[in-house]
This record gives sequence, structure tokens and C-alpha cells, in this order.
Amino acid sequence: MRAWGKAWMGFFLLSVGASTLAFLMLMGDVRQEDTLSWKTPKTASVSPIAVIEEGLTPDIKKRELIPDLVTEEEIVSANTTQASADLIWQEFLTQVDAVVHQKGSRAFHPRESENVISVMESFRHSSKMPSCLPDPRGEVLAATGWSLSTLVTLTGWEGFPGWRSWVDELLLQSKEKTWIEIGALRAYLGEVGEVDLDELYRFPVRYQFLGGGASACSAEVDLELASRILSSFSLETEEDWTLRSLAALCLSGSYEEQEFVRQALKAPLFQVTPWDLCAHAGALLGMGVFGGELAAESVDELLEKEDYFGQAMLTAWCGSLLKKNQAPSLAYQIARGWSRRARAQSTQNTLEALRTFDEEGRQDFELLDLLLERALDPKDQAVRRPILIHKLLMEGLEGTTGVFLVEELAFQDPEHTAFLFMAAHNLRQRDAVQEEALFLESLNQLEQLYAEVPFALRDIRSAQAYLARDAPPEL
Amino acid sequence: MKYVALIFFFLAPSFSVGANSFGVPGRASQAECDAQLARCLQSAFEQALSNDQACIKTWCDKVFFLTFCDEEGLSRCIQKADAVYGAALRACQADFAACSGMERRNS
Repeated sequence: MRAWGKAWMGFFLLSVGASTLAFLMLMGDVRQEDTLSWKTPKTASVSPIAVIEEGLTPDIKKRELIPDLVTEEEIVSANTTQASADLIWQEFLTQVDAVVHQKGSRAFHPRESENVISVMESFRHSSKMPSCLPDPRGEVLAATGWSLSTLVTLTGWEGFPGWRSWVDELLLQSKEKTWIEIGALRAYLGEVGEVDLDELYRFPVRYQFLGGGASACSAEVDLELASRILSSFSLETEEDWTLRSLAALCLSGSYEEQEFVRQALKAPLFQVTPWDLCAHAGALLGMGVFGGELAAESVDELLEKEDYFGQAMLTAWCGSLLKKNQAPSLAYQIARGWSRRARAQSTQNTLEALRTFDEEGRQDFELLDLLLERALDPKDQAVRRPILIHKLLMEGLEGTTGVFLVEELAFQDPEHTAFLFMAAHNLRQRDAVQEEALFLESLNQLEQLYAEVPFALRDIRSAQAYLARDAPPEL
Repeated sequence: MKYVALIFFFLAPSFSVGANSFGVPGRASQAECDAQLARCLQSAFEQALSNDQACIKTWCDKVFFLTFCDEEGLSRCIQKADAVYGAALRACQADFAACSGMERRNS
């Protein structure tokens, strides 16, 4: 009896369960049928997926929606990431802008204590780096020049997927093509490598962007972009100088292998007037590292030129290519050994080194480069700066280096602005039109930098007024 | 203090270098003004060299071929010498401006 009761109870429960399941399934079908039969849109009931899709960029749509396994939660998450990423990128751009606003194009200078490089590094090490690129049609388009370049380089270095097509899209959408190209070229050159881009800051070539390590451009598409940039001779704005330096450097890695590269670099390397200072320097820096026999031939050709302005750079960077690969001079070796605290000997040492430079035919650019390097180090007392400046500028030992030294020292300390007038005088005496244009740019930057320092401002304006007399035609 | 006074004794003449270097201002040709500027700057430089030597004489002692200096005193002295040289350069600029009738933008 008991067994019969149990069986009956089990059958009853099973029937109830089956009926409930059937009922639920039936209701489910009806609801689905009901949804599909909606003919008129009801805003309150539109699928959330469609709403989210509207806010996504085409790349995100492709990347996230093609796989069937994407759930609504994942899409919502992707959308949130893009939005928050854009905000974080915006924050980064603002930080870069603040430094650039404060320091002008000096914001990238490696000798500046707070520069864009330090902003970049602290951003990268703060784990704030977003997981996706900023929307190329969004707020990033409103970014200002240097910050946009920095963003493009940083994202390139970080290896974001789809970076190249993102750059293409950005180029299509933005009017700031030069800035984007600067960022792209610097990214193509990589973040590590045998080339030290900080070297460009040691010479008056107006490179004003991210320094550090770099390697050769290898992709055909990168070389094409660089070649196109060099072929359009445009030096209207300060960013053009930087762009041309990077383009020439990018090409120089293939100097031995590619005929079209040698053709593209021919004008910046050998054309006498006007000197394409920036592209010339970029090419030399790269050739010194990557060059072989053909580069060595070109370097020899340059050395045979009369009054070749780039001898100091060439000696500093292309030593390995020079046929007469001599050991450093005795004067160089002695100057290298001077103590950084040798203040008492600095006057005599500097005078003697310059006398040797003069007597040896003013060709020991390695020595001159060393003196310059030591003079620009504020903690190094071995070189007497006023003597070096006077000898280079007033006694005509090496005007280009002298003007550069004065500019750099003026940026370091307003006390040195007294020498600006001497530099202006030297430029006018040498009739160095292109250098003069660059010097005037520096004066404008210094004017902003020392707007609150009356004596420096007077010096700067004296130099401006001096050059304004019978000003040469603009380039 | 006596050393500081001594230094100023050496440095003081350089203030007047610029002013004494030119002839009648405003009358000279541009080439003459340029030449006068070059002379003025050269004169300021030579004065700066002797100021450097004065600093070293005051703050350093030479024993055979070794030189011992009071680094702090020498550093201060050279800073002052640099300031004096800067002032001399500015005097040259001002005289040149007067000579050539060059207008200076107001600050």
C-alpha cells in the first residue's frame, strides 16, 4: 500500500512539473512572436544593442560585433572603455599642452627639467594607459599641434592594434597633417636603437620634438612618406624643420640599398643655397650610424666643400665614415681630462684650447664640439663661457657654433642674454640669412620666456632691433 | 671684506669701457658704428680677462706648479666678473644704438 502511494505521488509531481514546463515554453514562444511582429518602432523598446552601436566608432563596431559570441554586456563594456579612454587621452593632451604653453617648442628639449618627455614617462608609468586608441573623429581632432604629434608617437610606440589605419583616418579627418606626420615618423623610427636623437639638440638645426633612441625606418610605406615630405620643400613654420629632420633620418637608414633614397637626400645633403639645415642634419645623423661605402663617399664630398657649415656635426656623427679616421687630437684629449671644478684654470684652458683650434687650421671639430658640450653643462666649470663666446663670434673662429652657444645659454639663464647682441652682430657680418631667420625665432621664444625679466627683455629687444635694420628678405 | 673691495677695484673700470669707446654719437656712418662696436666689445673682453686674472690672484695661491683656491671666494668673484662683463656688453650695445640711431623697442 505504501509502495503504491509513493508511486502515485511521484507520478502526480512529474505531471505537474511537465505541465508547468509546457506552459512556460508556450508563453516564451508567444512573447518572441509578439516581439518580431512589432511593426512600428517603439523608442522605449528599441534593442539596447542598436543604441550602443550608434555611439561606437566603425573600428569598434567591426572589432566587437562581428564575432557571434559578443554579448550585450561586452558591448556596453567596450563602449564604456572607448568613452573613458577618450577622456584619459584628453587628460594626457591637456598635460602636454600645459608644458608646451609654458615653454614653447623648448618643451621637448632634453636639458629642460620639466619637459614633454617627463610628462609622457609619468603617464606611461601611472598605469593610466587606455586599452584603445582615441576616437579619430572625436575630441582628438581639436588637439593642438605638439600634443597631437606626441599622442601619435606615444600610441605608435605602445603598439596599439590598428595604429596605422588609425593614423590614416586621423590624417583624413584632421587639418593638422604636418603634426600628425611628425608623430608618425617619430613612431616609425622606434623608441630604441643606435641613433640618439638628442644629438640633434647639440647643434643649431632646430629639431624640436621627442629625442631618445631611434632605429632605421624599414617599411616601404614609411620610406615613401619620408621621401614625399622631403620632395616638397616647405620651410614655412617651425614644425616643418622638425618634420624634415625626421624624414631625412628615416630615409638615411636605406642610403646604401635604395637609389630613390639617395636621390631624395641629394638636395638636402649637397645643395648649397639655401641650406636645408634640418634635413641635412637628420641625414648626417642617420648616415653616421647606418651608412656604408656610399655614405662615406658622400661625406668625403661634403668635406671638400669650401665653407661647409656642417663640419662640426659631420665630425661628431660620421667619424666612422671618414677615410682619415684619425685618433682624437692631443688638445681634445687634454680638454676631455679637465676637471669639472677647474674654475681657476678655466680661463687659461679655454684660451689655450681655442688657440690650438685656430693654429691647427680650425678643423678640429671634435675639440670644438667637446668645448661646446662642456660649456652647455651648467655644472661644468672647466670652460670659461664668455671667452668661448667672444672667440667664436668676435674673432670669427666658428660663427655658427658661437650663435648656437649664445642661444642655448640664454635659454638656460637670463644672465646670458647680454651675448645675444654679439650673436646678432656676427650673423649680420656673415650675412647668414637662414641662420638669422632661426635666430629671430629663438629671440621671439626668449621674449616670451623672459617677459617678466626686464634686463633680459631689453637685451632680447636690442638684438631684435639690430637685426631689424636693413632686414634681409624673408626666406 | 677687503678682498671684495679689492675685486671691485679691479672690476670697476670695465663699467666705463663702453661709454669711452665711441666718438661723437649719431654722426658716424654705419660702417664706423660697426667698427666702433667691434672695438668696444674687444675692449670689454680684454677687461674681462684681466678681471678673471684678478680673481685668481686674490683667491688662489700657487705653490710650485700646484694651485690652491678658496673655491667659494673664487666662485663669487667670477660671478661678479661675469656681471661686470655683461654690463660692459650692454654699454657697448647702448653706445652702438646711439651711434647708428637705432630704435629700440620699448619693453
